[in-house]
Amino acid sequence: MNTLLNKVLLLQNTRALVCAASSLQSQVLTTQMPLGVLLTNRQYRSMPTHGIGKYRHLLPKALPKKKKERVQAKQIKAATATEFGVFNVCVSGYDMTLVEHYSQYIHNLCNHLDIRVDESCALPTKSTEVMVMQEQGTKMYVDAVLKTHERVVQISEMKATLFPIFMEVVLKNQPEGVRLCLKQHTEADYQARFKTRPELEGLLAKINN
Amino acid sequence: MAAPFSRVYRPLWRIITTSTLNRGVRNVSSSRQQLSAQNVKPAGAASPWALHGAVCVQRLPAVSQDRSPIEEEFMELMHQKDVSSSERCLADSLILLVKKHVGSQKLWLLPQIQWQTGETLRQTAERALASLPGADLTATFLGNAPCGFYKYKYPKDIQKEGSVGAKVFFFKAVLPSHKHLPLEKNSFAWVKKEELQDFLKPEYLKQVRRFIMAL
Repeated sequence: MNTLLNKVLLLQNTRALVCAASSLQSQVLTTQMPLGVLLTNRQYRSMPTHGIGKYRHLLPKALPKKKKERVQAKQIKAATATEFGVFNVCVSGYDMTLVEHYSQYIHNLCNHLDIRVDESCALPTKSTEVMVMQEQGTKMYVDAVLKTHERVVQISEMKATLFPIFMEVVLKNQPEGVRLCLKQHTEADYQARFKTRPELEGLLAKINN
Repeated sequence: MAAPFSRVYRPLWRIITTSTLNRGVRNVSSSRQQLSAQNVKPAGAASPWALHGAVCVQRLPAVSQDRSPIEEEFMELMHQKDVSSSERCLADSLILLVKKHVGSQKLWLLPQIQWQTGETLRQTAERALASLPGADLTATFLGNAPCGFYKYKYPKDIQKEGSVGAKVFFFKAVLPSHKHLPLEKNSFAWVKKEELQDFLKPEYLKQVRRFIMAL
């Protein structure tokens, strides 16, 4: 029993050695590797279990991490004969829920009609102070603060034949207290969203002067 | 939003500015002019169909809170049944219809006028709107593309060699709902989509219904 076991083990060992030797040979013959390097126990390609433990090819390609790029100004497309260029649908009002819901409604309508929405953003809230004059005296005091909220949905490449239908739906569902405004998108509109940098402007002025 | 809806005729605060947009798309109208000029063959081989431009003026609804029962009754009393008032049914959009002499009959139609050479069909529609007697309606046209089309043949005794019938192209225009427009009773009507069938002929109605949205 023991001898049998030994023989089996010996056979296995020899087989393993043969495999190892063959793999070594194949490695040496195929790849140019320095002979002194310790080689792992690789299987030959005709072996059914060749590459059985490989998984790296199944993972998604990990792109090299790039730094955050500067936001480039997009080219504003011009209008053609059958399509509009880039235009902004500005929704503004005092009641934020109405303004927000209406702008979301317009955005969803565009998605449903397969109209390209470039951007959907909010402009900074503007506060208006309502001042009341006192009954006796000339001093004014603040009575109320009204905040005007504004949302912009930027649409590009809309077909001119679809536009009247779109406008009709948008106008018919415009709630009370909400102002709708359609404007062509210009570079100035784009730049107005950025904050001014006073130090930079001061330095530039110094350079120029 | 928490306060109950008290007055019905509160002026709505809605400003729509589409002037900059229309200016940007003016090139569409010029190309259409070229197209229409090409379609009309030179004198001698003119098309037997006369072209008309019609305008579908819609008074927009007022989207607001539901009315209380007393307000409903008041509205019923005041303006609902008076078809020529533009203040009726503030919750629905209304279309303007005009009674016109067509041949020997008087028919209810959308305002239309014949096309003249050298103008775009949209300008024809604008002229049709401006030529309505007694009403200076400043409606905003939505785009240069027509929304509908209707073709009819003249009756046999009027048909000549060169004229078989007429083709009407409809354009859409909107009126904001806060303007009160006094119009003559018998010749003008503001109707909802459901009431159109009482006014229009069946063939005409079928084509008109296709582009009128009851939202």
